[in-house]
Amino acid sequence: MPVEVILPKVDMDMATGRISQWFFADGAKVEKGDVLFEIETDKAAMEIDAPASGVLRDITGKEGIDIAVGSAVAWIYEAGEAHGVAAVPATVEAVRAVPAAPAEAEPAAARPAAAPAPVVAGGTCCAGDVRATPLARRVAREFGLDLASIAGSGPHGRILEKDVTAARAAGPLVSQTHVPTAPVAAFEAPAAASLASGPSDDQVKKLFAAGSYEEIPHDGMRKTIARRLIEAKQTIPHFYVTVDCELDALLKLRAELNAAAPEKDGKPAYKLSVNDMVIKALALALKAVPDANVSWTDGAMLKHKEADGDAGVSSEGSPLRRGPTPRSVTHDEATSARATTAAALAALLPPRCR
Amino acid sequence: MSTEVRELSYSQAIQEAMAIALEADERVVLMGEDIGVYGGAFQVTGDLIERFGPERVMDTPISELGGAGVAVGAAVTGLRPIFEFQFSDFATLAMEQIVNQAAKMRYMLGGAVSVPVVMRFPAGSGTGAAAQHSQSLEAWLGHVPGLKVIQPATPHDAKGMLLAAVADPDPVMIFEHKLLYKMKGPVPEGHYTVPIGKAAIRRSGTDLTIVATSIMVHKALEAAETLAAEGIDVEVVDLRSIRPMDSATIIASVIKTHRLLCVYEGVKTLGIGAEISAMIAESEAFDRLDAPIVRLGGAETPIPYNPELEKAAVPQVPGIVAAARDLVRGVR
Repeated sequence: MPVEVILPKVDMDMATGRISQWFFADGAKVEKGDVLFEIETDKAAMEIDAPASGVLRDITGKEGIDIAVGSAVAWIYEAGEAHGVAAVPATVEAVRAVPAAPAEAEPAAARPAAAPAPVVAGGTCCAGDVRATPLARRVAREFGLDLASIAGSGPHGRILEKDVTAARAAGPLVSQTHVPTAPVAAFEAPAAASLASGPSDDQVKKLFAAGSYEEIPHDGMRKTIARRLIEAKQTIPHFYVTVDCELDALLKLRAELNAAAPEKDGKPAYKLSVNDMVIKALALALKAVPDANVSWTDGAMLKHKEADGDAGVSSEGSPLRRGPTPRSVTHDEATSARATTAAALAALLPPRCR
Repeated sequence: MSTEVRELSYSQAIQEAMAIALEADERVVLMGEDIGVYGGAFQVTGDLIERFGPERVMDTPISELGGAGVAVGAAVTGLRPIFEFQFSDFATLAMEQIVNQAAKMRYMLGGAVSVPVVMRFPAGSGTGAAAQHSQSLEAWLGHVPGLKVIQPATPHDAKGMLLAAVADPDPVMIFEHKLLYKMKGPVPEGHYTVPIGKAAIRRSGTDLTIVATSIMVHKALEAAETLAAEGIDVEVVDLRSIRPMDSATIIASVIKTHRLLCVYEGVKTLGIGAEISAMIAESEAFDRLDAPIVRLGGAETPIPYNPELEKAAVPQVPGIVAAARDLVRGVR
């Protein structure tokens, strides 16, 4: 009988793992203890040894796809042992099916936010690594919620019905947490379902000009960090720390810049606000730390090539508005002063750093 | 028929049901070991031999297979026998008559005959009678199509279900927990029946469904009181009939409470709780479950003679409270 090579569980929370690299090819002779492959888990990379000596065959665990813990990823045959389909246990087919699954075939393709985590072939596992009661699953389905984004309060992190209900109640907050730049329209969507789940990858990408960003696929650790952060945000009370800054130098610069404004119809052509200065500082910060200039989607991190300033404007009776250009603080001024402010900033800021 | 309610013990209620049946229908006869002059191993038949005579209250020799065979034969040929086993454990001696004859005759003879026999089985542990006199074998017989198997938990049901069994055209097996015989409860006078195959909700609640059988119904109710003080609202379903089983009532209850705990005295593995759990998993209640189903059943051991071990071998109130609490609080 061939010896099964399985994807082992190497950490407590691990439900799936990815093989990042095979060190032997199909048909290679291996010795027990040889490092067969390396797996990448949520948190670490581990080298896995051959469980037996013989000939490595039927490598079904392809590199770079999510594989359920305990799945057979290859078999080791004794030298001279007959090798054929009949000898191979049935789970091979299930594992082989993985690369053909649409979600995995196009990792960059957008998936709806409410879709369950990629289903992992290989038998023992359910939907991704989510642990939930049947009722929690039913309720999440009815609400259109993604179980993967809900923290479970039951044993072993099992999601209970009350966790789903709580997540639904916190729905709009979830969306804002996910994507701070989501347009107003996203929050006005009629169904509770769309309130509760974040925008799809497509919706997020549409916010940015094509080609203005680079897509960087997430590794397991990044996904885990994101999940944990959402859990923390949703389930743990937060407090926020503020810092007082002395802006004397900035105010002095502002006064100098405003004093230098040319006259137009007897009035200064522009008047820079403190807000404008803050926006510029933020834009410069984004340029200085490109790793912060990113947007999250479930499929990949969007790393922006540009830094866009953006400010909320309050006006009577209208909700928060967002726009592509910096605006002055009041609605009245917004209309009249936008052009002048933008012009002034354009003069001050580097290109693409409006 | 009177509806005046007075208190009778469980064994008095059974005796009264048998007396009513004997009076109402001359085809009804009682059979069993020491049920005549002695009044029955648990004094359930009492003085019925004095009231109805030895032709209708018959002592049978100490052979369960022989006695059961006579009862089954009498049922096929026109009588309506009520056959008492001294202990349900001795059903093992009469399996041929119960399983191969009584359960199958109607089917194998194309419906030409029926077997309207009633068999009564004093069952369960708690009397210090050790491994051969303390078992709960209801699931054994519950596995046999052609039999009806019931476990009344109250004096009221003991009388009403026995009268329903006597009227039933098919063999009905009644498992009576020995510790219930002395329990008192309201029992209407006169003839009434409690339908076979219908569970009863003994306590309505919203947090957890406990499906219990026989004496476990009372332990579950006691546990429910303790849990109520902790703010846990338990629904207690008295199964009453294990074949046929009232799945509709259990499903409706689980849909309401989202949690299920099965409590029964028979050995846990391959028992009544396994059947209920699987039935729920196969039903529309499946995705109403918000916690794993939990079973509390008898230990995987012959019932010990030592009284402390005997208690430990079957579910008790503190264990039911703990299991229910863990379920509702999401600890398991």
